[in-house]
Amino acid sequence: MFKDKLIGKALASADLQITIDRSRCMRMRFNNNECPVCTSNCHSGAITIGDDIVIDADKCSLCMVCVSECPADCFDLKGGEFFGILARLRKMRDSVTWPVLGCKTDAGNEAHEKTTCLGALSDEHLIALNVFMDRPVQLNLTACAQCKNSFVIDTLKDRIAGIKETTGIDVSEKAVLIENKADLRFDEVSYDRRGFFSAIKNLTLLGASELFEKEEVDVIQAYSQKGMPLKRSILNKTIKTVMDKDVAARVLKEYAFTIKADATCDNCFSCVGMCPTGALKSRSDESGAGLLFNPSMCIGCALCRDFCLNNSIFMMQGYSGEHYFDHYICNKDSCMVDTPENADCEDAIDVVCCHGQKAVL
Amino acid sequence: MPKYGMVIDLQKCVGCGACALACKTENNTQDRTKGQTFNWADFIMKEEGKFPNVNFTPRPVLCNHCTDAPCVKACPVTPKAMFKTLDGITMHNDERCIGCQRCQKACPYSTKDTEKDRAAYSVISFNARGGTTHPFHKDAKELIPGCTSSGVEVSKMAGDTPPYRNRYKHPEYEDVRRSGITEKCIFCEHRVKKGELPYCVVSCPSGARIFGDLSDPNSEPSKALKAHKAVQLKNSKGELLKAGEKGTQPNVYYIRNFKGDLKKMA
Ligand code: SF4
Ligand code: SF4
Ligand code: SF4
Ligand code: SF4
Ligand code: SF4
Repeated sequence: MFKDKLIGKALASADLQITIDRSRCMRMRFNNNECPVCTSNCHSGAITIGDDIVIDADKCSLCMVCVSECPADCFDLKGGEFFGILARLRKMRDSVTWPVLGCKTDAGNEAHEKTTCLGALSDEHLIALNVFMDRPVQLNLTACAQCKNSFVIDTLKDRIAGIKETTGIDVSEKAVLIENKADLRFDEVSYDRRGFFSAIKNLTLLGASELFEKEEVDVIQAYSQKGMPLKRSILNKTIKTVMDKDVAARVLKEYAFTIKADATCDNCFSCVGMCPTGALKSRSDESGAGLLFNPSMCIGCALCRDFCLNNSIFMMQGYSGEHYFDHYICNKDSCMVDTPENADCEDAIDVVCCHGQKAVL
Repeated sequence: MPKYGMVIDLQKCVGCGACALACKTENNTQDRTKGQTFNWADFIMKEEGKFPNVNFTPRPVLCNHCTDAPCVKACPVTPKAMFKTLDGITMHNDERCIGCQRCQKACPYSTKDTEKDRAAYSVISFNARGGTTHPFHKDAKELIPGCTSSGVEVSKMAGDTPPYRNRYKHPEYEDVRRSGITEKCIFCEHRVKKGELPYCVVSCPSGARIFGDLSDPNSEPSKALKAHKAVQLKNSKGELLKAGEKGTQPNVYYIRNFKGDLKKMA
């Protein structure tokens, strides 16, 4: 029996630097779901999922691929603080021509900013880096070949190529992979806390002040609590604050989803409880009952669709309407009013589209 | 391992409602609203006959802590938010529950909306999403302005919300459940674990509720089941399981009845 309270359990993997919030995992929320993303991407076979999600600390190589791949943000890298890193790298414009982002795995690794392993840079991170940086950042991969996480080089290359293919964004313009020491251009910089705050100011000028509010994910594990994955909010903040409209449209085509329920929906709102992010909401007031959907919060996990007893929900790749950041009614007759015209239920996709993985239903 | 159950002696039950009130104060359940009853202990009232020859039968109802509990099977989360404890209690965990209400749909004794479905009661109730639980006791509106006190005032005077709050500690359950999840009778597991009886049992002035270990032939409920023919409820409409019918194997039994015969009395 599970007599333990969940709160506090999240820190069980303290020495791992990864927090696990099982309430976010699609498999934990819906016992029919068989999402294979973390287990199949983990090169060390360190993750087991049963009645709980466990990372074997002895096996884990700290590649952070689970952190960057899980669409639901079940894993969180402690002290990730991505925008802080970006802000500081930006600020270096005054003293350094070529900012370097490296990893903590190799202590001698030359870098101005370090994260645990560069495997933590998801598609969303890379896109944000590309948009926010005004000059290229060198990703210092010079120690990777000797590291047990050497596969991260390929992972990053794949991600960058994938982004280019699907959205046309050439991340390699700003995220330069440096594999050989000879290619690395590194200038030492003396850096202090004050620099950090002026770096923030710098970004504020960009209209990006809200970037710094609460980047870390709450480690409270009530399943009923809705939470937006960090990766998703990084993408959303990027879209909202600095992204060009056309580029944003291409990004939304690839990374967003449209959810629509047809007339068989009986407003039971089971899906609202199931949805991990709060993308689905219910409304029952004088104006009638309705299912509300917010595309910016949808991670495409398809739990709602698979959980619905009436098979009322259809999921389409991409979002092209005017209400990306709003909750709008997405079921019954009114669904036509607010949903983008091209989101036709006929285009419904059959796969769980997060990172191309199909869940077995 | 004990297997807890309850036998309710309908001959002793006078329909006073003490059990229902006791449960409300013990478990801090909120007021009935929008088809949700929040009455973990409730009644099916049955009226028969024509005046003056009438019969009135109150049947106290609660979660049947079914052996074959469909609410548990329906629960989608891992580990299950609705689950059976080793001693047969159907327990609910408020932190894992996502409020999908599938248990409510699956339980034959529950309904999503008692008003719409014209059900006498519902074992499982749902705390609406977004809102606050116990809205009445957080409302500053006076029923008769300048005359009666408001819910907020009463709570303030009592020093807690709701005013009758019983702050118990249970590893699975908050004494007041959060919004957006379901809730139901937990057989007062917080009391049973301490060796006490469920509060509805303690509060019954006529001793109609007999709680104990059904797997022990010498327990009070086992003895009562041996001495009398017992029936079990089939659903929230008040139908009973027929002989040989298993249903969800409910562990709440009813014995005897109280039928006054007016002609005989006269
Ligand atoms: S990747 Fe899938 S299976 Fe793994 S934790 Fe995330 S949601 Fe669960
Ligand atoms: S709306 Fe559906 S697909 Fe989108 S996040 Fe919620 S449950 Fe997943
Ligand atoms: S009465 Fe309903 S809620 Fe109680 S155990 Fe049986 S099925 Fe579950
Ligand atoms: S409402 Fe809660 S307890 Fe009931 S089936 Fe859903 S998750 Fe399980
Ligand atoms: S308290 Fe006892 S007598 Fe009164 S209604 Fe409940 S079971 Fe019947």
